[in-house]
Amino acid sequence: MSLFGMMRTSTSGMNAQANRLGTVADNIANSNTAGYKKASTEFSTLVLQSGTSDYTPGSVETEVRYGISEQGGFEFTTSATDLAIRGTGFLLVADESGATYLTRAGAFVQNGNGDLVNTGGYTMMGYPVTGGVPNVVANGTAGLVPVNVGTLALQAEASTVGAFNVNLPSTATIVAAADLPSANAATATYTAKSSLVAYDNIGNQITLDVYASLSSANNWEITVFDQSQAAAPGAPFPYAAGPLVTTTLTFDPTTGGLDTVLPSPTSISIPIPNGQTLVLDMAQTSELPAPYQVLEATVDGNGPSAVDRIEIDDTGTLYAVYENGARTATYLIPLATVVSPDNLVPLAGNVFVPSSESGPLRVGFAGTAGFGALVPKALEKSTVDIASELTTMIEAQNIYTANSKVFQTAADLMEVLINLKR
Amino acid sequence: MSLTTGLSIARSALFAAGDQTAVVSRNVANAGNPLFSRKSANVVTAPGGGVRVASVTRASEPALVRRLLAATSDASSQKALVDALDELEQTINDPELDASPAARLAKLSDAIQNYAAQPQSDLAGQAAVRAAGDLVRALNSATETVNRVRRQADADIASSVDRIATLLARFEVVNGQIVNGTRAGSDVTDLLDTRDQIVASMSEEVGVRTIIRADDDMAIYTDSGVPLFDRTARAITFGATLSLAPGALGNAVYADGVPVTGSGATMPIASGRLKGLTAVRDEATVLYQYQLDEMARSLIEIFAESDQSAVPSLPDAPGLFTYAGAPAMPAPATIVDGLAGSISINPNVDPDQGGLVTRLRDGGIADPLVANYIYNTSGGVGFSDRLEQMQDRLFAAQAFDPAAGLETSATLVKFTSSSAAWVEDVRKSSADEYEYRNTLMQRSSETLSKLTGINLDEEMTTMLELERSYQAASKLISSIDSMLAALLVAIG
Repeated sequence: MSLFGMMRTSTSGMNAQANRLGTVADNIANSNTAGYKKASTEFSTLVLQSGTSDYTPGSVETEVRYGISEQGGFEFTTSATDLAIRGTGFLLVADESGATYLTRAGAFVQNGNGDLVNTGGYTMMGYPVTGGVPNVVANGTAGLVPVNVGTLALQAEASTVGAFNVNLPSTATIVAAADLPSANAATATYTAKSSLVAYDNIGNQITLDVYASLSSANNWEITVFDQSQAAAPGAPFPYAAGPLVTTTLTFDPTTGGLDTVLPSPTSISIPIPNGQTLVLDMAQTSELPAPYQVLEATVDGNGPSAVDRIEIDDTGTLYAVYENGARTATYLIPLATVVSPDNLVPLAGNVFVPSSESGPLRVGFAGTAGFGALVPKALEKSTVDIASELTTMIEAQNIYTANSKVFQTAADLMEVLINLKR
Repeated sequence: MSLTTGLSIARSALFAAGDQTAVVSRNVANAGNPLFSRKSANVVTAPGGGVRVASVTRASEPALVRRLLAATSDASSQKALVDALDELEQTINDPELDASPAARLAKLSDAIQNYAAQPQSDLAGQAAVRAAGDLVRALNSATETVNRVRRQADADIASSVDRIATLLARFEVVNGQIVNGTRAGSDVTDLLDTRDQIVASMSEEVGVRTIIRADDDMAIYTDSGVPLFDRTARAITFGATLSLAPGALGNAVYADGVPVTGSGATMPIASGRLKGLTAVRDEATVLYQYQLDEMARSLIEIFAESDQSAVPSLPDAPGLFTYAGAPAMPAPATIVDGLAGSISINPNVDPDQGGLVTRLRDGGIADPLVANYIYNTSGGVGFSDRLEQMQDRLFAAQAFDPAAGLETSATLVKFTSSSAAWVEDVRKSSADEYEYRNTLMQRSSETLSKLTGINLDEEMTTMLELERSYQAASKLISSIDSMLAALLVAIG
């Protein structure tokens, strides 16, 4: 029976190598597919029970493996919505029916609805952050919505913090109490004036006139008015509405800085009309015998403006970048992984689904423990190496030929056997 | 590492070399552009191997730029002053034409002396009146020149303010693009050059200080600390005055509602063309007008006629020289604004206007119908006492208003020459100062150009290096290609 055994065994050997050549063909065909993970074949023996005096040949069993956890190289692009992952993790995508899949193919483009769709036709999923911190379920896909960048509305941000540090001239003359800007009289005089732009709740620009006046030795009165209330551009006093805030900063004449013993206030809180309270840090303000000079002037917030473009950073935060340059986080793009990524089941379109062997899904964010980092403006290249595929092919071809030789030998012997009977 | 990885790395090297070459070409193309700063491409290793151009940066020297801005402002401030003083000096103190008030005064003095020597000569009398007419015209035209310079300065302030407003509007656009571009990580180096250029242009008009904040956002303040731009452009306004009365000051320039020029400025600017023009309009020309007015007032006083009765009952009255306020005399040692513009020859003595020249010798110019002002009571043609008295008074010390900025007690001749010397002195010191500031500016500009400008040798060397690395990368690609080809041949 061992001649038939030989034929069966060599056939299984040829089948195995045909499988192997199949993976090589697939790999070479997908050697330029972004996010493709190469397939390989491993073999195991199937041994039949043999005695000590005769040998019954078994056969070989093929097991197809996917090197899903293997890192591909990066190809840098110019599209802000191209994403690659360095390290563990998959992007979560969904098909039309809403079923969730994992993928490493991150060539996303905006479709007609404003959804981000990759080359396989799958939609990118993320957590919206506009309503606050997203409710992330660590082992499921609940709360995920398609990332839609088409309907990002005009947005305004009210001013809340700022810094305004100046040098106040210690040589200035003292302003009489009745003439201080805080009295809001037509005769008001001041040592120096500056103005800052802040934003109210709906994004209106509010120009704040900031007056600094030496009220008594080492005491500077900082008075803030809303410029829109000025009586006339050249002669603003008296303003139609009183000062928004008046604070007196006290300086230590030995150091020229704010008095730390008293202590002097180091910031002023300005209630913006129809806005938030703007806390203006003035801790670095000095009183030195030098001319008035603005050293730092910043106020946050921005007026309403449309979305200019979107940007994704390496933690997966999708920012809407507005025309005025402000960036607002809009979506958090999560990563997902499983215990054994190599046991994920590949499906068409470079996506994978968890199986019983791969273990359950775990969702998290790029840069956190157990997840890799996102590389924006890059694509993960196919893990296929042409040279190794070609060598595999040569090897498989040779082994296939060898198997066919074994079959031919068995067939020849069979013929000899049959010819024994004339 | 595999052949495929090797290929993709070699390809990234080709791309990077290409990008770098583009930057080099930009530098070479702009080698002749003085406003262009040298750009360089920064190359980083890409994750997973390979190389890419991460950013393009430009050579910049913030400290030097600050110094250049300050030097430009100082120079253009002095330039405005020098130009105006040059004009005053050229038209008033022209030694060739002898048309200056000082020269005319000397001629008048000579003519009167000549007339006193031959009082019977009508010709000598006519010459004296003509000399007086010339002096009046010199004072009138000097006043006109001063007025013209002042009006021009006022108009220049208006155009300077317009220019600042235009530059601020352009700045707002460019600054917005820079902030956006910086946030997006795109190449904003050319915009930065443009923005620097706008700030440099602005520094010609007004002294500025800049602060760079997050995302390359720039805020501009005047050198006195008034905001010109902070997120948005601030209003800069000025009301031009079409005709400036002598002695009257023009309007102030307001930046963000704060007066920044003129005597009433809360936060006065320290440099820039605006500063120079304001000094011309409200200081130099005003002071010079005061001096001309004092000369005119002094002339009226010297040639005034007094009551010659035994018991004088009539007040002194303007004689040879008169003015709009006649017959009252101008208050002694007090500036009368615009007097040098309205001073004229008394028609009673001017033959062209039907007057009699002999009244200069005999008196009675103030009022020919009133005998009190007749000096030559006997009516003799040889009477020269009055002419000698005039001559004496010309060389006697007079009191002058200290506000004119010259001697408070001096002869008119001395006062007039002091005035000329003052103009010359101010002009000279401003010109020297301008020369110095301008040199300083040129040096700063040259140093900046050396540090941030294009050096063709350097660019060519970089290009050779890039060419080599491009060749090496292509060689790598062809080697990998031949290795794969060998493999394919093996498959047969």
